[in-house]
Amino acid sequence: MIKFENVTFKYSDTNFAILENVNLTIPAGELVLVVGKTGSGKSTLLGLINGLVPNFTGGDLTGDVSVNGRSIREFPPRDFADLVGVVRQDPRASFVTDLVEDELAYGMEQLGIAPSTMRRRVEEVLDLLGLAELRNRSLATLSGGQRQRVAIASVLTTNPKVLVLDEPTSALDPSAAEEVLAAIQRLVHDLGLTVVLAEHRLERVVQYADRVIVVDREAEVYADRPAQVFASSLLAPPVVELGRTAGWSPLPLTVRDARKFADELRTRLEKSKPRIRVNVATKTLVSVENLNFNYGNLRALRHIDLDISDGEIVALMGRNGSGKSTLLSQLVGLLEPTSGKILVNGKNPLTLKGKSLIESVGLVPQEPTDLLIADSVINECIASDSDSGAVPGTTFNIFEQLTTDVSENSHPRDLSEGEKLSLALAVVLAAKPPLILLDEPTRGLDYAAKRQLVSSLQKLGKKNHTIILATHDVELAAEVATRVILLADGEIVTDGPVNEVLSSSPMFSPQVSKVMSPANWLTVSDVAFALEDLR
Amino acid sequence: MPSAPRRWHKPLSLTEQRFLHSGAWWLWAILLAAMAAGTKNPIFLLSIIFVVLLVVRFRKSDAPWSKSIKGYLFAAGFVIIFRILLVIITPDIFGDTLLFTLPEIDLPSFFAGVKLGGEIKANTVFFAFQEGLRLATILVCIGGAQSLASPTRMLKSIPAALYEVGLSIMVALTFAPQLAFDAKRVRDAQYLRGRKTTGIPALAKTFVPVLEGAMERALLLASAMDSRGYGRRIHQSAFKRKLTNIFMLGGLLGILLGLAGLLGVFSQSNIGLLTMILGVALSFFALRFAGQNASRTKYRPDKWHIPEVLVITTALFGLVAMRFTENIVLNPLASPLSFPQINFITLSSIWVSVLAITFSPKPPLTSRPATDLFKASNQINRQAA
Repeated sequence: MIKFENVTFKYSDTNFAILENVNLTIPAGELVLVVGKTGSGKSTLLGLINGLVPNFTGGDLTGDVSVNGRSIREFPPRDFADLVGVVRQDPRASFVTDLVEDELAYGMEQLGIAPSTMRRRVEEVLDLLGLAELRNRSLATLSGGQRQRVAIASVLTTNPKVLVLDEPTSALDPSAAEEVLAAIQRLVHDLGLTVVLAEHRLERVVQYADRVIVVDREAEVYADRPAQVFASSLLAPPVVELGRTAGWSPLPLTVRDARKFADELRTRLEKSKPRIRVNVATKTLVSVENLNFNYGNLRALRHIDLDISDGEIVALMGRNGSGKSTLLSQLVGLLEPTSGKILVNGKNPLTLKGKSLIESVGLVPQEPTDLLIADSVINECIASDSDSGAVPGTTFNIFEQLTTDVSENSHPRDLSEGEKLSLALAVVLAAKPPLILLDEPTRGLDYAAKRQLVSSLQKLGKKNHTIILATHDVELAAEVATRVILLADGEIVTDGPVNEVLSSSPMFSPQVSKVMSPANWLTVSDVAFALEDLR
Repeated sequence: MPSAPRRWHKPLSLTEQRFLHSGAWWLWAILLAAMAAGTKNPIFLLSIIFVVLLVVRFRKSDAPWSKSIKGYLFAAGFVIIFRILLVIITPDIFGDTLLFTLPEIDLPSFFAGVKLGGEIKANTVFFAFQEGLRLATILVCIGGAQSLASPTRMLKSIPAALYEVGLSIMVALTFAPQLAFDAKRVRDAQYLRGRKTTGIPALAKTFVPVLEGAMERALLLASAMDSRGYGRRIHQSAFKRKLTNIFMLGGLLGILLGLAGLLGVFSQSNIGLLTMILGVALSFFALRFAGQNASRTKYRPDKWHIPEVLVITTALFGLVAMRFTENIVLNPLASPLSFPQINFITLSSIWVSVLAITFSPKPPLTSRPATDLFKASNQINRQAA
């Protein structure tokens, strides 16, 4: 269905080829997963399928890509509209109209499809993706999962043969992600659609993949069965790593496969216990009393009571829109509570401004680049030093500890997601705030960048910084958190130590916990540590 | 390929929830604005404003564009106040009812004829109020149309040749709230870095990132639209394209000249009417030609049904009645000052327009009402208790 022949591609402002001599054939009806580090060329590969790269990005292409015999050298992207549907990470950026039904029809209108056919296809696709009840809704009022399904539906109405999805679930909470992935899988099974999907959170998608394409700038791009790829790949979901650590063969790819081996591992670890991650608390740093907050007549937070001590790493979890980000904004004084009291380090965050604010609390927003203002890494660091009154060079030193090999002259926008996050975190840390807040820090991070983040956060915790993360990423929470708070509809549903909360929740339990239950293990590193001890 | 079964085109009942044709709302509002343009009687004008506000209150949808009426009301208030202030600063001398006297300021000789301050007569203030109110009423009518008619549905009703223009307006409409959101994000980030968020330097610093974000989004949207087939067209010969352009330009020129003629710029009004007709005809042909160019189809375009016709008809009564109303009633004299006369037939004809509420269908909801959610969750809580 899709053919890459001797494809070499180079962006015009760089002097290295991002893809080199790629030869791939993707047969019809397969679900293909594209994996690779950030910046390895996954998005470029996906963009080539309908010619958006190089038509919209510029750059030099040699070789040829064709879909169903139609070559991107001969036809512009718009002539692929009836063949390839493209859905991106944030569908809001690609919505053209304002109502669900109109958005579904947009592509067909452009292709000049007869009104009666349009009507029928819209109805079919609404049913296929379970959107019938949302047909009259305004796109702005949809939840994350619904929005993503509408985006998929809107490209399906033109009856494409190929669906290209670039990180469709990275902004979604676990249940919304499952809702989207289930829809995608149904399309593959029922319609025989060919799906090409890039995703960092492999634990969510590996079980659906027929084949995996590995994109790596240093090595040849190749495609293979998932089992073969993950036997050696550095990028692997936790369940695969658990299999490697425990020496299981054949390597399990899914929780279901792994549970067959779990009995053996549980008996091996009968006498061991997971490491307990508790830092000795000396004082209460954050105290929240009966906090309420309304957006208009929507009650975003209700009766929040909370005490957090220094050295705690708290994961705030819950659905999209459950109030996680709102709570973080309250703690940093961006929003004023409707009623209730917040004290951070003994002070009301609303009374803090300027230097006194950044010395008490720092927030890394969902989009870390928001925080960055300068045109190069070094200027950013200098600006940050002067903002916080730190000794010149402080921010840059912190940045160098958080990441490796970044030229100080590069533009913050050109950094990889992980490096951007490190820079924003360094800026925040320069003022030495005792409380650090991170909003969805692992969005767009690959496993290597995530590992780096985990170790940085653990080090900060040991230095008795208090960290609060709002996150959908169960694996991250399992790795670093000492305490987990589950929010739903603006209320605290559960608040407890990480082991208890995560292992008992079906939606928010990490893969290792699913494999090892009823034993209470959360992460591969805990298991590896215990196995090491036994030896 | 099988065609859609007929049952999807079920006959429309008057009460079925749907969007009334955007064109119908605009015509209704334009007719009301035309009424306003023909009178200075405050009672008639206020009646028109109330009619528009009532209809908007009961027939606006819950989409964001429905809130635009508020902005227009502010603008209307501003226009009235500004017009009155203007006469207070530079009063005319006519009239006999003295209100108060302002200190007079002598201006240099090259401002001859302009007078600041002096005696303020109630007559001039009333005259200014009438004029301001008329303009304000027209503004409210336009605001009403914008709140009642969805801009996206309007896009479906315009000729294919104007599709691009309409689309860019629509994209701009969705971009505006996004820009505000971006500006807030950037301001928040500045606050988080302990920087000032007020004052001109801070404002300047938000400007660049917001613009950058807008550019980036524009590019993303462009590529998304392209990959969804935007811009696929049947090719047309260069000659035909040129002909279309000439017709279009000529047509628009004709309409402009015609308008000027109808408003009495030329001495002979027949010229105005003739150029108007010619202009409309030329534009019509241009749109027809260009329309052949586009290979697009329209999904469920709004259709004209009985409610549309009825809604427009309601606004015709007032206009017709005003043709037969004496000038002294339509344009009350400011000097001597007197309470405006009312013709009850005209007044009630204006109020017939409010029947648009009963004739038009309710618009469907486009967002889930938040209150319902909480009602539901409260019920659950009560059951749990």
